[in-house]
Amino acid sequence: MAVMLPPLDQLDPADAWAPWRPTATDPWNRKWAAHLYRRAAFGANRAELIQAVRLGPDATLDALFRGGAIRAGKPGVPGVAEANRILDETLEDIGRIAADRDDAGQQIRGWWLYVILQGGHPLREKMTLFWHNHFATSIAKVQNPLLMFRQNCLLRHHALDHFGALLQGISRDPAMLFWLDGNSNVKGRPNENYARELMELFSLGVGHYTEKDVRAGARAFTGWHTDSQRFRFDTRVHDDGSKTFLGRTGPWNGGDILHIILAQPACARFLVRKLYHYLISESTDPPDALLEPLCKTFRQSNYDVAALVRTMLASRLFYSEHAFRQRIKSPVEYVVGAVRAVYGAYPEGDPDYQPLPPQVLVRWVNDMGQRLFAPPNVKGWPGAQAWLNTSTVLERDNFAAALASGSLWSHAPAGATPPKAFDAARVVHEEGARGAEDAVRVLLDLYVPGGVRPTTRTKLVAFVANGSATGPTFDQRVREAVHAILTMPEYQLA
Amino acid sequence: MHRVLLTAVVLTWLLPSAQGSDSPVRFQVQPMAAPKPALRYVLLPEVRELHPGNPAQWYVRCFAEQRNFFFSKEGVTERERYRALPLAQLRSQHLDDYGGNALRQADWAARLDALDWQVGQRLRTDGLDVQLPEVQPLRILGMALQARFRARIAAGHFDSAIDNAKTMFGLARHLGQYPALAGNQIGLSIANQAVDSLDEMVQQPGCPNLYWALTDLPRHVVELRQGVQGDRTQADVELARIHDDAPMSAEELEQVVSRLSGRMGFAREQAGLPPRSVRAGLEARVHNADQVRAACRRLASAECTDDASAPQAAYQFLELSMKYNKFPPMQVILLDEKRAYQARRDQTMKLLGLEAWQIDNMLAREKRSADKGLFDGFGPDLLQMKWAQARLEQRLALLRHVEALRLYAAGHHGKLPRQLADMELPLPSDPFTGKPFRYHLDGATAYLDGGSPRGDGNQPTYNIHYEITIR
Repeated sequence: MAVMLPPLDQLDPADAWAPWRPTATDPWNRKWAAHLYRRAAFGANRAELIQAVRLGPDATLDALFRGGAIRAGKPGVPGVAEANRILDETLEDIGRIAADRDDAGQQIRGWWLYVILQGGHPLREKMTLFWHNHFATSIAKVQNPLLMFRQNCLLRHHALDHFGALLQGISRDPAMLFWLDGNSNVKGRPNENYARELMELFSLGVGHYTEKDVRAGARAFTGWHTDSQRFRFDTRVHDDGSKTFLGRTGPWNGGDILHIILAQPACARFLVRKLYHYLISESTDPPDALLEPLCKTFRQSNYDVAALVRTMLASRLFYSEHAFRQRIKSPVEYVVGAVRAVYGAYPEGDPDYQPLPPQVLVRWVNDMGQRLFAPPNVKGWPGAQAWLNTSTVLERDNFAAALASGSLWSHAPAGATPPKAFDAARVVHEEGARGAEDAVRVLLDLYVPGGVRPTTRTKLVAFVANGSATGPTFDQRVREAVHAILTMPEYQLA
Repeated sequence: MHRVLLTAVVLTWLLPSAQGSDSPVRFQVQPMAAPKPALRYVLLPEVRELHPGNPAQWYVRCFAEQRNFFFSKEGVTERERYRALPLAQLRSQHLDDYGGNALRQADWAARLDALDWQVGQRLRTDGLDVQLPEVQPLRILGMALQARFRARIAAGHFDSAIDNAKTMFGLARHLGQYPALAGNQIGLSIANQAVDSLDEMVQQPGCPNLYWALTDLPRHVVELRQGVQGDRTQADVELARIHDDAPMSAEELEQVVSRLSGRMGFAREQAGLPPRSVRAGLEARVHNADQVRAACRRLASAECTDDASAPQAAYQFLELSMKYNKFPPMQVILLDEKRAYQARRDQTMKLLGLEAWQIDNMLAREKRSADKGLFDGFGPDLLQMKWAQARLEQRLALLRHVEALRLYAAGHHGKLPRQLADMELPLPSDPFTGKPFRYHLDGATAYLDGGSPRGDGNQPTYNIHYEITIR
């Protein structure tokens, strides 16, 4: 049983953010390993859970930060960083081709899911997804897959970097400039869209700037344009006059504005709170005092995102009931996590190997309400309970049925035995489970470590026990049980 | 350019539903004499049915006719259901005209006489940048036609079912003329779907005997020649970006490497295969001075036109070596890979005109290296394509055996022959062995076994076993 922490408003911040240490009563186990993988990645498969339990929380988190080496299984071996660099370049080469033959975003959506599934760095992708929602830009207006792809690469490149570098990059990003009308921002007729969203949604939050600051900021960004390919600073239409912005006066340009914003304490507070909701809990709003130590360190570190994320993901608060299952999985998290759990990752060349075409998943993610590269507006997806409605829950159910039956990637008729790699019943055989009770234990241990309600478990056992205890009909019931698990309330929670 | 995109994905679709060694394909058939006249039924549109026109345009019109029928979620679900439902349940659905006008456009298209896919020139100028968006939907068209085929079989309307088969084989054959293997692959897939349904049809009471209809089919229902040559053309356009007449700049080389890496990677991405870095292999070789020198020597040697024994040969070799030594190492490595790829590709291409079993025998003697070069991912594995083609022909040959057995049983009080020779009918040999299929009779069940290419014998799609009993 986990040690219960006090309520958030009574929690000592130093204690909350101190590194968690497993104890005899609250050990590092599958529950916490899966919890870490759901937040720092998109869920774990069986092999990763086993390895994580063996490695311990620190080494697992290290591996997630390192990326690539997780798959190689050889952390610290010279050349891993180099291999990761080349892999990243390769993935960008692929994305460029995908964007080149795209029109409405279908290809680049598949490409991104491919990078998430097979790019070897799920934590970085998790953070790229965070920044995609933070700097929400939509292909619906940009109408250029190549620019959307390049923005995605920018987000990925700086996903765990210093926030200032990302802010500088996104302010010059052609897709963003299209999205927030940069080209119409000229001297004498400033367009306030970017300056307003920069402060309201990207850095400070409402209440930390005035309308005068918006106007001054817009003037500073005049001439920050794009020629449809890259950033172009047009000095002819730039307003180089004096401006007063957040209390400071000078002939500021866009870069100066960003520096001034980064010097505001509100900037760190805004980002830390948003990351708290993304990585720890979206069900409660933490008191300022709880976040203040993180905000201070974040500012002092020159906005080192990786250090902040690491602190959060290693903390006592993270490994507590304040965080456990306190988020609703987004469609990407739900789909990718379920696929990773069901899919048997045999090495290519193995007779049981099956490829994992990412395009198949795009439709499902779309229909569950998360069209990548097309967030609904500049505020991004609202998330949390908004992910679940009658339509999207039905899509989750249909997806779960297709995945668990193995028919997601093949057109096998209902009831046919799927290839081993796609067979949700495979894990029961791999663990040598015998009988319904044992099979359900294995399934819950893989899909919802940390348990489900006792009545749910009882119903599952009764369902799986209804018939012979071995053979194809038993396997079929196991697959149907997996379908049921994937639709449970517990499984919708990250 | 969906040619590369489709490569690996379609290879998995090509696997027909007939199972391999683990699950025999069971036939319960009625004796049935040949129709009169013998070619009352054929499986491809005949010349007398043809109209003037280009079928390619009409296949595409199918989708203009009823887009929802093909692509909506309901349409897809319904189609998959009709393709999977047992015939007895399908009978009650009354789907004889499933697809309506949309599929009637395909019937019309399959009976037009002037096929021109109209992509050849673009392949020659744009190479791998050409997109072939019309190809992929044709696979869906094939599935829809199969659903209608099954509905007609279920209803016992054999004449209209055979008309449907003619459309499917006609479409498959037209796709065999597509100048990209991606098109040929879809053609094979559709032909296999037609055979799946023929397998069901010959087991229905009253189904006419199709022995002569199957015998009438051309040797290769789906050709690969156009596709192989089209792919070769596309690859050569791409490879022409690697210049061999002057040193290339770092920027030019990065463009070439990025395109190559992206193309290879994109094909793998679309197929769902893990990323494999072209860049890693290249960089390792570029940084190995010995490998670069050896590549220079190979390039010079390959380009030497003089007889090696002639006095001027050494001079020419030296001159060429000096030329390549001035090239950046990356360019040398890329040119060396290009040279090796083109040689390897022709080594395989030259075999494609042979029978599958002849190729298999030659490969066994040659003991080819399994090493893959940088550019081998440009198109589908040619041998795998050939095996897929032979696999279809093996299934057609086996079905012809089944029909021969029905003919024999019709003339012998429902009995099956003790050996194939008893039938006194010409029977095709197994494409994978060049020999007659293995046959034996055990009680009231006849057993037919198909062969497999060497090394692929354990693949579930090979070593096909048929079990035939007379009702």
